[in-house]
Amino acid sequence: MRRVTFKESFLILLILALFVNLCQIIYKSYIQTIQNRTIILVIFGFVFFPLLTFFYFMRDEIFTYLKSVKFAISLFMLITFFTILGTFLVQDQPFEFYQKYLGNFFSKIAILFFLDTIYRNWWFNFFLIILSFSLFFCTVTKKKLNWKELGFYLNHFGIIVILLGALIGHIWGVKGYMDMFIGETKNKINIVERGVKTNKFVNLGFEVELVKFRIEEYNPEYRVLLYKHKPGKDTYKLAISYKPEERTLNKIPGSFHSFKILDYYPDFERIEIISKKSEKPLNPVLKFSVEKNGTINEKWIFLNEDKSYFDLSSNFAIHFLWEKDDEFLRNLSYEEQAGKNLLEISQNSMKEEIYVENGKEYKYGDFIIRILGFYPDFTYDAERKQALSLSDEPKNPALRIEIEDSKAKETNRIWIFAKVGGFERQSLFNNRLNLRYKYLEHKRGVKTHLVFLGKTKEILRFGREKNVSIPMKPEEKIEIDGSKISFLDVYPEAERKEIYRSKSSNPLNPAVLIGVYSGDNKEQYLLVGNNPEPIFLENGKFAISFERKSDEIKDYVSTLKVYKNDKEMKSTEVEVNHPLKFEGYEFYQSNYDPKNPEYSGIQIVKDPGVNVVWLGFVMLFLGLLHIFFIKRRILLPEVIEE
Amino acid sequence: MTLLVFSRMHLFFKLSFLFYLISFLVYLFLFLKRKWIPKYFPTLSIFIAFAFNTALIVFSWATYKQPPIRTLYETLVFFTWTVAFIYLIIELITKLRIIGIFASLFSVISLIYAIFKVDVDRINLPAALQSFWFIPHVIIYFIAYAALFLSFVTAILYLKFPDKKKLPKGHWLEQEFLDFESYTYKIINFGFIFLSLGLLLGGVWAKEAWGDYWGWDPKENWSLITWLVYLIYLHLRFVKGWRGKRSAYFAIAGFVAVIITYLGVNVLPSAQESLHTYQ
Repeated sequence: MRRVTFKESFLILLILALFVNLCQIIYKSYIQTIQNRTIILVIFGFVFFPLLTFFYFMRDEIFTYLKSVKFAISLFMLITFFTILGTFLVQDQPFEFYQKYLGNFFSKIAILFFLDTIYRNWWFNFFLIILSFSLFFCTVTKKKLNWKELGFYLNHFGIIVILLGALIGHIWGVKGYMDMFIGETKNKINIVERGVKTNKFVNLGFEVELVKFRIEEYNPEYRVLLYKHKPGKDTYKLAISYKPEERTLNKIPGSFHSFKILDYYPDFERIEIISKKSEKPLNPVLKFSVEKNGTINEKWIFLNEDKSYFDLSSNFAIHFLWEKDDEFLRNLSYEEQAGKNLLEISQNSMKEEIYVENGKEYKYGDFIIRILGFYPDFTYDAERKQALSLSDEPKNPALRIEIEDSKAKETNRIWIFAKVGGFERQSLFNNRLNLRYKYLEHKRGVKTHLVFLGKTKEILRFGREKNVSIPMKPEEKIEIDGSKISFLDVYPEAERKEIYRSKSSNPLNPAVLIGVYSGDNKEQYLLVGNNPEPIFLENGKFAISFERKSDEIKDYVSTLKVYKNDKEMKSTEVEVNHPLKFEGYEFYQSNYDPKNPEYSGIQIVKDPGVNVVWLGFVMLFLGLLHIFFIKRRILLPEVIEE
Repeated sequence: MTLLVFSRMHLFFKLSFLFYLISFLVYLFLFLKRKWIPKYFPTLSIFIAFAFNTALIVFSWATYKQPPIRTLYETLVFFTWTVAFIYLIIELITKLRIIGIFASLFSVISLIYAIFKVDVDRINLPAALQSFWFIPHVIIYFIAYAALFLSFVTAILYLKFPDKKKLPKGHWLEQEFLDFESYTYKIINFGFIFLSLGLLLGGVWAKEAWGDYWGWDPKENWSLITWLVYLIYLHLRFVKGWRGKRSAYFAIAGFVAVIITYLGVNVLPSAQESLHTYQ
């Protein structure tokens, strides 16, 4: 008998692979497109029968190789080599991709030998088929089937069975996909080829409904995160994560700063505590309460801020003044008044205020002032190059004014804004005319006004009919239309203090208070977890943020119902690692859409070879157990091939 | 930053790192100045390191209620543990202490790498890993990896000391024969059985998770390549003139394939499409 060498084995295998590759090229370029089946069969016959004859006459030679361990090892080596190649050469890419990375020549070579689809091409799978035969003949010729060699047999035949199962799956298997929306029922699946959805469909023979889809999450957790800027890049690298409960002083390496988490509020809220600072009337505040329908609400009026409290349901207002102010009292209104545009006009040292209205004309000395437009909520539409008002609310009142100097025959058009600092004044005609625009807010009128004077602790009551002054007594209550008002306290100079606290221990609105230290410098920051805005240190070299942990998704679960002939056959929750099985088809949770909670992507597989593969797995597994436990002392091989 | 990261690591991690370092020095010292150190000393030190390593794994598992073999950092700690574990078993059976130098050195390097790759935060178990097969698959694979690392060491030692010699009684190696070839073969046999089991379980799990027992994913491919390289090694021993040095190269190449499967897959050109890369 001839001796088999590695060199020969490689040579034979590579020549055979070239032949198979040639067959695939011919098939792809010429035969695939032929519609007539008879012609295909004839061509097949022309190739097959000469080959068969060749194999028949060469059978001894062929068996010599198939029995040879060296030949088998050569096959292993080739399969290993090309599997490695396939992990370096990215598979299933368009020709342009290979052209870009391999150049013109090598990309053409790669396509010619189907190296872009190594694991699916004919010659690689031909190797696997030869391997099955080689395994078979090696096994039956090398060792006798007995109890001692059971493991050996199981291992080798196990692999043959696995390859056989893979072949069955390849021929009769189906891979598909369904894009499902909640409530949708489908009886067809999109065929998937090379991992890509095609326009081909397969009828399932039954119907599948997506009843529900949900994403399960882990309990929310929040962390204080320290980021370090990546030099030369525009990104940050997450360096350290701190639990919000940690209270250590953390020196940031490579930085002058340290930081410490001072406090953690799972359900953050900000409350205000107001206390008396001094007796000087610098920041007077009035404390009172309104009792209505049995509930008492405490209120504060800061003189420097609001001055007034309106209770529209009981139709009264409380005003807080330090001293009596006649002009203020004169302006109290009992009926609603619309907002007014007030224009202050000054020339030299003369000053005059006039109420102006849109579309009207006003004369002032030699000047004629025309109001061309009033925009209560001014904005500028850059696209249409046009000014407009977003609403009728006087959020940003603006006037378009034309001023004519009748003497000099000169006209000017200006914009003037009541609430934009610096733009509420305009000077015209070399400062000869100065305008200032004030918008007098809409005034709410109520039936009763209570004016509280802080200095004298007096209460003045104004109605349309009577104006009364009531001396104040703290315990006395004033009743107006079902509301009881008690004046509680006055602080001439009040101090406001903000207090942070947690409403509950549930992480509904988590926040942390962080102290950042460098040298003697100490600063405090409040970071809110639901609105993560980081603290940047040292020109953005470091960042500290408070965020929700990102890996919170626990599972994706689709509830699928299967109907056949309008009868419900099955209802299952399909989740990752838990497919639904029905009539040979398996349904896998495969995708979701973060923007559309109604969507679920379901992958479908039908593989009639899978049980054969499992059989092979079991054989291999038992074979391994046999070698491990029964043979125990792993025997050194007896047969050595020359 | 690395020092800060290290300082924030668990005490058991620091202790096991320290003791692996000590055991490396002690094993090394044992072979440099043999008479100075009592024989139980290196074994004791690696055993203490192993105990802390065990404690670290048990602690993480108990605290987070999830198996600590999910991320690169966690698997590095686990890989360290399996190497120490398999080494201790081998030492118990063979008294071949020289491998201990490399086992403890491996642990030290692996834990240093783990410091750089430490998880910034503990992760929640992602949906893909919530499977019955997850734990056996990973544990079996790391037992295989650990055994194959040790066979890699013996294969290199074999290339250095290729002669099969009968050693005199009371020789410091405490062996009857100096035969690293046979050790390599036996350890690979053991490792290969686990490697095959891991591969099979991976197939079963992949079918359940993705619908295919095999998907030609880069990690799957490299685990197949690893398996094939060891398969070649095992079969080459049947071929005359290939047992010995030539097959030892395959034992070494096999472990290189293991490392590529474990770590290299993240950097392969085809890795972007892999479903297997570590976080």
